[in-house]
Formats: sequence, C-alpha cells, structure tokens
Amino acid sequence: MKTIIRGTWLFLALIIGGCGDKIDLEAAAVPLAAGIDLDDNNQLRFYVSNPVFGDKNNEEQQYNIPVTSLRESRSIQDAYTSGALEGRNYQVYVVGRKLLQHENWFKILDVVFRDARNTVLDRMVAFNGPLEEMFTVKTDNQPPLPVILRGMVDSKSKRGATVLTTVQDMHRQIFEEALTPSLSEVTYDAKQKSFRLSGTTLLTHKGKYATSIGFQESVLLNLLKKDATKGVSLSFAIPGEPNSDFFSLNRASFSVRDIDTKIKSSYSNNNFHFLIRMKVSAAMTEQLFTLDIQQHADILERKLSQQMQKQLEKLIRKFQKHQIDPVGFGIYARAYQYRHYKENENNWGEAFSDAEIKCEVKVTINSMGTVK
Amino acid sequence: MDNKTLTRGFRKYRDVATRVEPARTDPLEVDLRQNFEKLKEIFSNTPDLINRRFILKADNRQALLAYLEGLSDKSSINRDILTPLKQGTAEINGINDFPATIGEFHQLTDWGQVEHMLFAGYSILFIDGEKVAYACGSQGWPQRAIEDPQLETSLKGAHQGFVETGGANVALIRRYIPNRELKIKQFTIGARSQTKLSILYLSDVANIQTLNVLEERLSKLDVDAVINTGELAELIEDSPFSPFPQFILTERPDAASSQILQGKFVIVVDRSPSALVGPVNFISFFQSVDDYSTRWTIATFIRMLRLLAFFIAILLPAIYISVVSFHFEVIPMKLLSTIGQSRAKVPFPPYMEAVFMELTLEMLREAGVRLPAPVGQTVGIVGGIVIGQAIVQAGLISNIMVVVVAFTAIASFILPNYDMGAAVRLVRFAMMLFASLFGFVGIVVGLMTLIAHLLSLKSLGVPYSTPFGPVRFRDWKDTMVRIPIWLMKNRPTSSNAQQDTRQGDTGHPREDERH
Repeated sequence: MKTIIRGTWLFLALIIGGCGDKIDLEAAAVPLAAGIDLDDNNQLRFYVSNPVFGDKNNEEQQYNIPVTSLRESRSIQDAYTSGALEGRNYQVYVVGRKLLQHENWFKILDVVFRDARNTVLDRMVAFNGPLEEMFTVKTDNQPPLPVILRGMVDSKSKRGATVLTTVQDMHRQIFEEALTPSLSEVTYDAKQKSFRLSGTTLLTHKGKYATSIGFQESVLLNLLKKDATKGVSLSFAIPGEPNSDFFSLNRASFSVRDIDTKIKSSYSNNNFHFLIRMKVSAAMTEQLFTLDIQQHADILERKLSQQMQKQLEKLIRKFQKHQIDPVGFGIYARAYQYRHYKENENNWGEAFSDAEIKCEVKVTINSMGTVK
Repeated sequence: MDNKTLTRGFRKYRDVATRVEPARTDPLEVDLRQNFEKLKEIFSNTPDLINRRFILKADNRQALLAYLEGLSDKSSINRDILTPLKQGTAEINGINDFPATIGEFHQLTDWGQVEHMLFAGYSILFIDGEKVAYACGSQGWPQRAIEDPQLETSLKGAHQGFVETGGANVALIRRYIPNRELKIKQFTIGARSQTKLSILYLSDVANIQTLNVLEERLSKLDVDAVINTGELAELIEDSPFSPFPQFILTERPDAASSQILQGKFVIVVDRSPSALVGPVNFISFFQSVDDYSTRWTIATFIRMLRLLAFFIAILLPAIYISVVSFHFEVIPMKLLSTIGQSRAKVPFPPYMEAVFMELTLEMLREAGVRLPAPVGQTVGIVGGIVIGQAIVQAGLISNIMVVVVAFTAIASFILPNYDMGAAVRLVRFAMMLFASLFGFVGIVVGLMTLIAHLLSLKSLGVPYSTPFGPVRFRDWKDTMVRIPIWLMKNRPTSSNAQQDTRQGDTGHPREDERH
C-alpha cells in the first residue's frame, strides 16, 4: 500500500511538473534568417525572415524592428508574429556593411551565446549593402532567403570560394588574438535581381570591415588555412602565351588533388618571419593554349608555381596592408615564438603587417585531363 | 497499512468459497448392483454417462461397462471390449490375462480412481463378484487435424502446428528428438480442470537447478483450472507486473524442439495448442525459425531489421512529439517547412494527435484480429480512411503524423513474437507520455527505465537480458548477427546447459576439399 501511495505521488509529481518551456512548433515563430544593421539614422535594426506555415509554399514574413539590445527588444520582435519568436532555427545570421564599419558590433550578439537555447551553428554572412535591401527584396523565382543564403555559403565554401563561418566560429575568431575574422560575403545584384555570393569579407580584430577578397583569393586563403578540401579549383593566366583580342587564351586551370601546406615561423631583427611551403598536386581541368604536357609538363609546372606564388604573396601583402591575419599566422607565432608573440599579443595585426613572409609553391601536374 | 484487516478479509473469502471435494477413497463393492447404485449416485445428472450391462460369455457373470460418451472411442469399445467379452470364451484371470484386445489397462480399487479414469475418457468395467474394476484405454474425443501454425507462420519451417491434445503435441516434439534423453515430467494442475502438463527436456543437457525451480513453481500451484498455456505462463512467471513476456509461447513443434536442444524446457499443456518455453531471454523473442533456414547473411540482416523495428515501434511517435513540441531546432530546414505546413492546419497539440492516431491504430489491429474473415475486409477499408488521406484533408491530423503512425505500424508488424509485439505497443504509450512532458529528456529517462527494467527481469531465475547484461560475448553469435550454423558449436550459456558443446564436430562444410 505504501508503495502504491508513493508511486502515485511520484507519478503525479512527474505529470504536474512537466516541462515549463514546452512550446509547440505551430505556437512558435521560427525565423530562419536574422540580421542586424544600422539604418539611415544610425539606429540599430534587427531583421527577421520568418517562414509562414500556411497553404502556400515558400511564404516568408520579413520585417525589421529598431532595437537597443537584442534581448531587451524581444517583445517587439514577437509583436509582429502570431507565435513566440524562438531563435533556435536560424540558418543564417546576416550582418550589414554599415554595421561592419563600426568596431565592437559583435558584442551585441551576446544573447546568442549566453542563452543556450539559441543556435550557434547558423552561418554568419556579411551583406555588401544595407540589410534593408536584403530583407525587403522578394525573390520570386528563387527559394526563400534563408534557404538560398545557406545553400550559397555551404556549397561555395566546399569549393573554397568562400569561408564557412558559423556564429560559434565567429565568436572564436573574435576572441582569438592570433587571428582575425573572415565571413562569407553576399551582394545583391540589382540588375539580375538576385543575390550573389561575392567572396569573403575580412574583418579587423575588433570586427571592423577591412577588405573583401574574391573567389580565387578565397581559395588561396582556404589553402593557407588548410581548410580547403580536395577538388578546389584554381585558374591562372600564364604570361607569354598568345592572347586573343576579345577573350583570353592564356589561362590554365587545375583542380587540387592533394595539398601540403607547411608554415614555419621564426623571429629575427625584431620581426616575425614566416616561410610558407606549399606542395600542390594538380589535375589540369582547362588549358586554353597549346602546350604538350606529356613532353613539357615541367615548363607548365614551373609557370603555374610562379603564378600561384605571386598571387599568394600579393594576397598576403593585402592582409599586411590592412593589418589583418585571417590565416592565423599568429597561432604559429604563439606556438613557436611565444616570447615574442606575447609582447605583440595585443596588437598582433600590426606586428603581422611588419612580418616577413616568404612563399614557396611547387605545383606538380599529375593529370593532364582526357585530351592532349 | 492495516495488514490484519486485509488478511481477515481474505480468510473470510477463502472460507466461504466452495472447495473441490477431496478425492474419494471409499473402496469398490463386490456386488455389482451395489456398485451400480453407487455409480448412479456419484454421477447424478450426467446424461452422457453410458452404462452397458451384459453377461460375460466365459463364466456367465454379470458385468457393467461405463464410459462417458464423447470422451471415448465407440468403435474401439465395441470392437476391443464388448465383442471379446460377450463372444470370447477366455476366462478372466486378473489384469495380466484379460481377454479384451485393448492396449492400456488398469486395475482400480476405489471410487476416486473410477471417477478420475472416467473423466479421462477410459471405459470402466465392473464385474459381479470382483472387488476391483478395470479401466480400459478407449479414449477418444473431438480432435482437430494438424494444421499450419496460425500465429507463427514461416516460409521454410515445418507446416505442422501443435493441436489441442497434449499427447499429440509431445509426439510432435518427439519426432524431432528421437532420443532417450528426452525426458518428460508430468504434472496435473487445476483442482477442477485436472490439466495435464508435461515438462520436456534433455536430461543430459538441461540445467537441473532450473528444472527444480520450474517443478517447485508448478507444484505450488493451487488453482481451479488452467485452460490455456497463457494462463500457466502468468501463474509461474518471475515478474507478473512486467509488460514483457518471460516465456515464449510457441505453436511450432520445430521451434520447441530447437529450444529443447539448446537446453531449455518446454511445457506442453494438454488442451492448449501452444507450448511454453523457458527460460528465455530478451533476444530470443527476435529469433524466428526461418532465421536458421535462410542464408546467414540474410538472417543477420533481418535480425538487425527487427531490432531497429523494435526501437522504431517504441520511440518514433515519442520522438515526433518531442521534436515538434520541444526541440524543433533539430529539424532540418527543409523538413521544418514541410512539418510546419502540415501542422499548421491541425487544431490539436502534437501529443493529442499522436495518442489519438496510435489508439486508432491499436483499435484497428484489435478489430482485425477478432473479426471473422468476411467482415474483416471492412476493417481494412475503414482503416484506410482513418489512417490515410481523408483524415488529413479533414484537417484533424497532420500528414507527418500519418506517416509516423504508418511507420510504427510496419515496425511493430515485423516483430516475430506476438507477446513481445504487444509489450512494445504498451511501452510506446508510456514513451509518448514521457516525451510529451519532457521532450528528449523524457525519452532518455524512459529508455533508461526500460533498460533498467529489462536488466532486472529474470526468466526462471535466468537473467532476461543475457547475453547483453550480464555480458556473454560467446552468445552474441546468435543475437544481432546469426553466424553460420557450422560455427555454432556451443549451446547458449544462458541456458546453463550441462553439455556445453553440441554433438558432432562439423567445421566448415567444405573444409576437407579446400586443402
């Protein structure tokens, strides 16, 4: 009898307790894309793209609200929807260019990390323009904004054409002194009325916009970061080959079969030195000029190596000019030259800009493709 | 609590309840007429008792043959008892030289025996001037022909199922194991039903301690009647409050025999077309006879399919509930809009939706089982409306829920054992309750409780969850994978067999030729 009574109590305690934070899917608004930017009056605005579950497919509710802080304005965020806004399903988190002009904007996102309910695996995207534009455009013949943005970032980052930075990654990159953040960059092509992934946005250590790089440069960045998967494609103009008047015929492209990147650091003359050794084994995918690879592979290999080395050096010079280190050379410095790194810890960007960096690239062609 | 009141209540009940009278011990009379009177007195209002009076040809004495119509084989009585006694001239010289041409023959001395034998279908011969009666084995009652097993159909196994006669069932098993070590222990259970039980086992293989446990439980039984094997299972199982079956009830002689060969015990209950197998473990409910006659790779695949189905059948509706009402962040983006759209039109919360649909499914199943075949078709048609597009269009249930229910149904149909399937159906609802209260946390707690329960269960004192807990790696050969039969040289450790190795030393079948 005692056990029965105890059991009943236990059962009732369980049933009546339940979980207070239960919320059914249809009672919640589950925005798939969120964005923050400054508007024309320099007021911070929060942008939301919310799927509307109705009879129609692909219906999205998009609105924006002025905010002071994200959590403080939660009730205003809710106000536009029938359900309670839940930040659990964000696929992309977009940041407008105007916000990126200011330092320390990342601190606004504190709630995303502090409230464990929020997702941190959403892709962070920098939008090259005012967010207002992005969240008002109705893309008729395209999937909804969150779907297309996420798809863009995921597929392009696989090919190395941009970086894949989740909000969690961004958190790490901001708080890591030894490198600077990089985000996928999306532009609105007004002429073709569609969004376009345009490469990678590089930020300073404080999160301020530094510069943007294109696809090829992004691939190189990924190769340097050792993030590039096999199969990324590079294309170079080979000097000395004849060119046509309207289109270039001097291009050679290859996909990377295998890559071995080694970065060595040293310190001398009050400067950091980095030596980058890159061994690329390449499969030719395009070659517009005539060259018998079977006979003269070494010539092409040499030329490709030169070009790649040149572009790498140019890219690194660009980083140095903007005092940014998206590759994370600082991590090598911290690992191998800790004493010197420690001195420059708080202004690593500056120290990096003075560093001497040498590249040695060796391309080996191991496949010429199926035609001669 | 107040134990005294309770006991008193029970005692009172026990006193009032009519008990079956103890067996008679009064001896038979010498005078046939007195015996006849006594017979009529004992069997009053028994119109199916036939009393045939005749005169023995050999010595002109009066005789009386009594038998219960319907329990006896009439032609056998005419041919083998009445004819030789009425026409033959051989004298009756006690039981060893009796003129009747019948196999089984007993000498009875008191009325208790007479009563017992009559009900067992024997015909009783009283002879004037003898203080004993003779019971002739002329039993014969309505019997069903041996048919294909109904519940446990198999593709490649034998097509003979058990019938309602215990003796025939024992014979069916004996056909598989013609070995003198196959022992049969008989018990009679049920004060009124006098049901005969036979425990079958291999005396040089099966574990004696387990046998003792079984015998002890059977001998302690004091019930009115045991009609079916299922009742017996419930009376002797280890944990009566568990939803999980602790014995296998099989209607296949081949399955029962293979269990005996593994060192298990099989109880054949007279009048019941299924035999009880014990001790069993959890995984044996996922084994089927066909597993051993299909190729081992395929059998292994099917085993894993069943285990997967077990978890799907238990968890899928619960996972649906917790995902939709707690953790929609785990839904992939594209699925989210699909689920969202189908959920948007439904006025009920997910757990209600799920409980409603699962209950409907259970009702359909139950209706399908009990309905006679001609009406049964209607269930299918009506069921298609309830679990189908119509209910979605009516806006009562979401598309996804229908798919979930269909999945669960298919998954629970795969389980080869009906009792395990029934347990799964029940556990599913508990899981749904947990999920609707606590989401994934609830499911995990539910699963932990379930596993703890399975680990604590025993079947005839043998742990239910072997070989997984306690871990017996050697026995894993016939669990999730079914290794080739020529590699299964040992009996499962779970049956604690005296003989660990099976007879014979067959290695790879083509081993000799390979060299």
